[in-house]
Order: sequence, then C-alpha cells, then structure tokens
Amino acid sequence: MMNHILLPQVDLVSIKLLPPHAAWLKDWLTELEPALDEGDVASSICLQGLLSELVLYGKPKHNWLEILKEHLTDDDGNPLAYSKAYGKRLYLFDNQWQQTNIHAIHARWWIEMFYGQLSASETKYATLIEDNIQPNGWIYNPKVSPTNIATRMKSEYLMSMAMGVEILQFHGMLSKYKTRFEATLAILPATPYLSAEYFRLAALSTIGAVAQAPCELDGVLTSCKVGEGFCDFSVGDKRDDYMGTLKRTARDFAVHSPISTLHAWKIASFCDGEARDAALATVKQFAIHLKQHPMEIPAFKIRDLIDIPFGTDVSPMEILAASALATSYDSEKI
Amino acid sequence: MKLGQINIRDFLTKTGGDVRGSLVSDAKDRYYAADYDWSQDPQSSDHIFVWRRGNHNVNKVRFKNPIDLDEALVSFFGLYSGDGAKGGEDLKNLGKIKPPISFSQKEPNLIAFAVEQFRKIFSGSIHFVFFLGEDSAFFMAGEGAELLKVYYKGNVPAVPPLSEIRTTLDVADKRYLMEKRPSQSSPESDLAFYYLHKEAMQEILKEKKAEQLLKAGIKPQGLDRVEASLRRPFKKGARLPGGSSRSDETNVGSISGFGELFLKMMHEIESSIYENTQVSSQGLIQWVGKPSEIGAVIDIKNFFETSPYGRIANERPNIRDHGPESLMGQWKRSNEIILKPKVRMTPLWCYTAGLYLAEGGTDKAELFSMYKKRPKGFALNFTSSENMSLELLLRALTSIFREEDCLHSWKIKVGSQYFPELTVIGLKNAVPMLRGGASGDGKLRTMEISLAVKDWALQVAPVLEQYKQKYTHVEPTGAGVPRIDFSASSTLCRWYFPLVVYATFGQIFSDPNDFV
Repeated sequence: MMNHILLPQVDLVSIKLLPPHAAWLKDWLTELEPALDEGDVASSICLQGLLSELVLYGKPKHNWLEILKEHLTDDDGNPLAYSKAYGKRLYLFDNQWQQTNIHAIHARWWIEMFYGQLSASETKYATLIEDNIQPNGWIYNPKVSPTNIATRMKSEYLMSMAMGVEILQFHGMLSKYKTRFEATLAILPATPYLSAEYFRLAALSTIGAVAQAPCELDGVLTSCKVGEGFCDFSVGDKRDDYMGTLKRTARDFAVHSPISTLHAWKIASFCDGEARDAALATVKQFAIHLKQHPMEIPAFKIRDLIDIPFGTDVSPMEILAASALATSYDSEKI
Repeated sequence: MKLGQINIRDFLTKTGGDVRGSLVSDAKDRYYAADYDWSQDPQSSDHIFVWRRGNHNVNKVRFKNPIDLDEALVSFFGLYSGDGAKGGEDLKNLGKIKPPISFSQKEPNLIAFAVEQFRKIFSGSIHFVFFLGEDSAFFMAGEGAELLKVYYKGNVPAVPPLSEIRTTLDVADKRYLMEKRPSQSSPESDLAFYYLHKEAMQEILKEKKAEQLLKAGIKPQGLDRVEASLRRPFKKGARLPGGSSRSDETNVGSISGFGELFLKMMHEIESSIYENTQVSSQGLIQWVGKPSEIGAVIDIKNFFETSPYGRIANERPNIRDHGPESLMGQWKRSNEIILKPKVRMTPLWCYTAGLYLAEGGTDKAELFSMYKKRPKGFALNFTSSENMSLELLLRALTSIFREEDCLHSWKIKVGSQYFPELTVIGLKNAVPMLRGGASGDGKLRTMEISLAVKDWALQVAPVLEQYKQKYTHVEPTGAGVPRIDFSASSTLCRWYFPLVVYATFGQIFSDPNDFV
C-alpha cells in the first residue's frame, strides 16, 4: 500500500493502467528526457515522474532523488520548486525561481521517504514546516507568496496545511500544534471547492480532529457534480468575495476531472445518507466512463473560444487518477 | 486630410438595408442585425434620411452621404472600438446583441472629442446624456464624506434605522441584505445610509460631472443632460468606506436603433485596415487608396523639432541620423532609441491611436498634461482578448520602431471569475495556485500554471508567436476574462504618445496646450 496526498483513495502499487494511459505516460516520460538532461525541471515534475514510473514499471527508472539534489536544492540544502533552467521558461522570472514553498518541501520529503533516505528522527523538513507556521495558524512561506489570507486561494492554503501536518506527524512534531491547527481549520467556513474540503479533511484526519470539519459537506458534493464526474467547483456558485454577488457565468462551463472525482470520493467517505450514495454512484459512473473513454479528460474553455483549450487537459496526475478510478471499479472498491 | 469615406447610401442599396455583422467581445461570439430604409433628403443631395424598417415611431436620422473619413474620425472609431458599448445580449435571441450608442470614458478631452465626432457622423439632431456612476460607499469616508458635509452645510444628518427610512424593501434591497461582504459590518445600516443620502449624493455627482464637462468646453444644451447613477454601498466595486468605483458614460440619444449601423461602420473600417483593402468587404468604407499607402507622411525629425505636438513639458529630444534608414533619438533623462525617419498617418495609425487612447494602460490625463508639465510614470502597455486589436497596435508600433523594441514582455491577465479554473490547472500539475503580492494580484508564483495557459494565449493571439519567448506570467486581477497584456519599454512613450495625440487631435487643436 502506497499513497500520496494528491491522489486520495489510491494505492499506487495496485493501479492497473488502462492501455492508452500507459502509452500516454510513456510518451510523457520520453518527451521529458531532454529537459531532464539539461536540468530544466520542477519538483512537481519529479514527483509526477516518480509516480508515473512506479505505476508503469513498479519502480523508478530515473534517480529522481539525485535530480532533486542536483537541480532543486538551494545553497542551504532547502528544497526548491524550480531549477534555475526551469525558471528560464518564463521571461523575467529570473529572480523568482528560487522558491522553497510547502508543496516543494512535501515533494522532496515524500521522495526521500520513498528512497528510504529519511527516518522519523531526521527532522529537517519538519523543521522547515515549523518555520513556515504563521501566527494565524496557516502554513505557508510568505517569502514566496506574501499574499494575505483573505485573498489566498483556499485550496492552496488547505493543501499546504494538509502537507505540513503530514510531515510534522511523521516526525512526531505535530502534537504541540494540534490545537492551534484544529482551531484554524475549524474557523474557516465551508468552501464551495472539492479540493479545499478534501485537503481540510486530510489535515483534520492526520490531526485526529475530523469532528471539526464543516457539517455542510453534502452541498459541495452535489454542486460540483459535472459531466460524467466531478469538477472542483460549480460554475453557478462562483461568487465575488468582495461584492457578495454571483459572477456572470452564463457562457462558462466546468469540466469533469478524475482528480476532482477522487476528492469527491474521499469527501463522500465522511458523509452519509443520500449525498454519499449519490456521490459514490457518480464516482462509479465516471470510472465506467473512463474505461470506455480513457482520454476524455478535457481542458477548460473560455466562453465561446471553444476550440482553444485553456490550460492543461491530460496530465500524469489526471492519468493516474483516471486509471485508479478504473482499477477501483474493476476491483469493486467503488 | 481625407483618407476615405463612409458610403452609407451605396451600402444600404447593395444590402437592401439589411445590416448584419458579428463580433467577439469578452470571448463571446455575438451578432447584430437590423434592417433599414433610406430616402434622399429633398433639401440636399449630400444628405439622406435613414430609419429602422418597420418602425412605426419612425425615427429618421439624417446622415451626410458620403461621410468623409479624416484622421480624427478614423481615430474616433478606434476609440469607440475600445471604450464604446457593444451592446447587451437580447434575452429572446441568445447571441444577438442590441447595441446602444454609448461611450465609457472619463477623460474630459476625450469626451469632448467623442461628442464632436458623433456630431460629425449623425449630422441631425442628436443629444447626449452624460452619466457619472459611483458606489455610494464613496460617500462614507474621505473625499466623498467631505462632499456630503459641504452639501449639508456641515450638518450631516445621523443615519436612522433602516425600518424608519425604508418602510418597504424592494427585491433589490432584500437581495442586497442577503449578500455577504467581508468588508461590510452592517448591511442594514449601509442601506439606510444609501436611502438617507441618495438625493444628496446624486446632486453632488451631477454637479461634479457638469463642472468637468464645462472645463472641457462641453455645455449641455437642448436635450443634453447630466445624470448620476448610484449603487448601494459596496455593490459597484468599492471595497472600503470612501472607496471609489467611478464610471463615466456618454449616451447618445435620439438615434435609438442605429447602434447596428454604427457598429457596422466600425467593423468595416477595422477589417479593411486589417486586411489592407481599399474597399471594405461590403463596400461601406472606401479609402482613397490602399490603406497602408495613404495618409500624410510625418518627418519624425522635423515633427519632434518643430511641431507643438512634438514637445513635452517644453523640452524637445535630440535626434541624429543613424544609418541610411534610421534615426537615433533621445529625450533628456531617457534612453536612446532607434526610429524610422518617417511615419505615415495611415488609417491603421489613426485607428490604433484611438484604440490606444481607449485601451492603453497609460494614465489618460498624462497624455494631455504632458505638454505643460513633465509626465510621471509613463508606461506603454495594452490589453486585449482579441488578436486583431493586438496585431493592429503592434503593426502601428513597428511603423516607427524596430520590431524588437515594440514589445518588451507580455502576460496573461485573468479575472477572479476564472481563479477556480487556474486552481484546477494547478492540481492537474500537482501544484497549488500561489499568488504574489500582498493582495494577490502580483505575478502568479506557480510557474506550472503560467506555462499551462501560455498556449491558449498564443492560439487566441497568433501575432504573439514571434514574441513567445517574452511571455512572463499569469497575473490574477479583480475581474475580466483572460486577456493578453503586452508592454513596451517606457523609452517608447515619449515618441509614440505625441504622435498618437497628434493623429487624433492634430487637425482640431493647433496647439496641444489648449487641452484642459
């Protein structure tokens, strides 16, 4: 059994890749080669590369830890999100590529753990997390992103919280922050985002305080049902935080996502009654859909610019999530 | 100088009066359609009457035919392309728009200019309604509160309970009270404030607007009037008491039903410039020659050494020869830049001059005050969600500057409505959406997301393909569809802006010191 916090409900060891997914991942890894040779890499790519090879081959083919050490470590030994070469992919980003943010720390921690190079008593990453606990109880690195909490993305700071407490707990350093984190997580009202609620539940589960979760989780499961599965948000619920008004969304539409569907599945496991049953039925229906249409993982479109994808459609994380859903269906886990 | 003409009579004859067109605005595909009839003005062979077919309350509008297109009028259409109303959607016919003729701009010189150009097109009796809109939270603190104090002669009445001042709440009131705003402590009290001071606030705004118009030489006459539009506190965009969310509109009245014909003129001008064809696709526009080959030629050295428009804060630049086909220019306290020795005031140049005056990122007031006082914080940047606008502006810039100097960098601005999409794009790439800056509207810190949407921008605006290495980041903003914003070095400003202002106003004011 091997899990990663970004792919809930998934045992990485037991995923059986659908053939088109396996082919896609192999192509992705092949296309990655030249960039890896040049040190043009991000910690997110290393994580996805390792997860992809694990599921494809049962073991890594690259030494991802060495890549991290060589290209994604600063002079003080701290993990970096981006290599210097990767930083050049954006013009004038030269001074900003050196980011030690929470997800980069988590990626490094998880990969070192995978390679068996980190024991509970080696606390350097937990100490880094401690250094980034803010007076308001959230965990983020203000040197990377100084944005005040009111305008940070909820999914972002909840993800960082979930990753942070996972690291602290492993190293036995969570207890002194437990109550503080509980209070921080409890005071945040229910959000309309599956990812935010999933990461909150993940953090609360690690802390052992799931009772502090909002009691309105059913709503997010209902509103985020989109297409054959789930999307992270509901277009109709987009609201302006300042003016309190609903956004004009008549021409916008959400798209289903295997990752969001995993989030919904995990949230459903904390619910009961009709909402849970309906969510599980959708998860099952989406798993069947993905078995029949494995690559039907669309990108967003902007209003009427329907021929132009806005951002990523298929990605290694989506592929792994999609095959995991199909595997779970086959093994009757859904 | 005459650059071309608008052949309304020939166009209506050819199309049988059926005006059809489409546009992409805010990434929405929309169309417009209206049918017109026309007749010759018996008093003048140079004028025709046009009216909406089937309109029994016949509103006959008198047009000069043909309408001559000079630099100012072409620039005006560019200005309208940026700041003009494109129309709201007809709820009975989704995708179809009903375009009013209205113009959003607060800079008084530009309002005066637009009024004059509207009169040039609609030679009959049109009138104007000048609107000033504001969030009533503006009057809760700071400048707005002071204005209220003056209005009440120092005795601002205390806000009573809502139930006293508004005994019956309407639907909008009830909806307002239901909405949650982090910056608002008491919606009931704020709503009471709104109703208590509504008339006073409207009077203050109307007076303020009338003063500004007067300064620009616009004195409402006949049916012209000044109106104020107030929104409930924090409803329009103010985030804190005293915050402003001002909007200025100039509505053109007495020409109801002519928005479609007006949009058609604008689109035929724009497309014939873009395609560089002498006659627009449906013949409404006819240039005096191929658009790229017509228009007065400006000798850059001479312009900046002698024209009143070529002087900034009483200073002129140094310009010297730099090889056979270029000049080297330098303003005091600015970098050297290579210039082309001549620029032609083509329809493209004039149209984009207006477009930049509308949509350019430069503070408009600076463009008019630069002749009298040294400008501060000059910057050249332009935002659009459409390739055609971006391409036309880049083409104009390359007619005076080297291609590599025209664009320093570009980014994608994304309004808060689309942050959930950006978040999901991040999750697909195993990262969160990390914002930059204290309020979160700085450079997005998550490179994966910025890189993931770059291809979208290159497909929306293929003109940027040649500059694809200059892409910097995604920038989260308050509102708006994803759009592309490019900037050029500020060195270009002192060369480009005087020529932009000259193209638009050169035939109207001999001396730019006459601007208000």
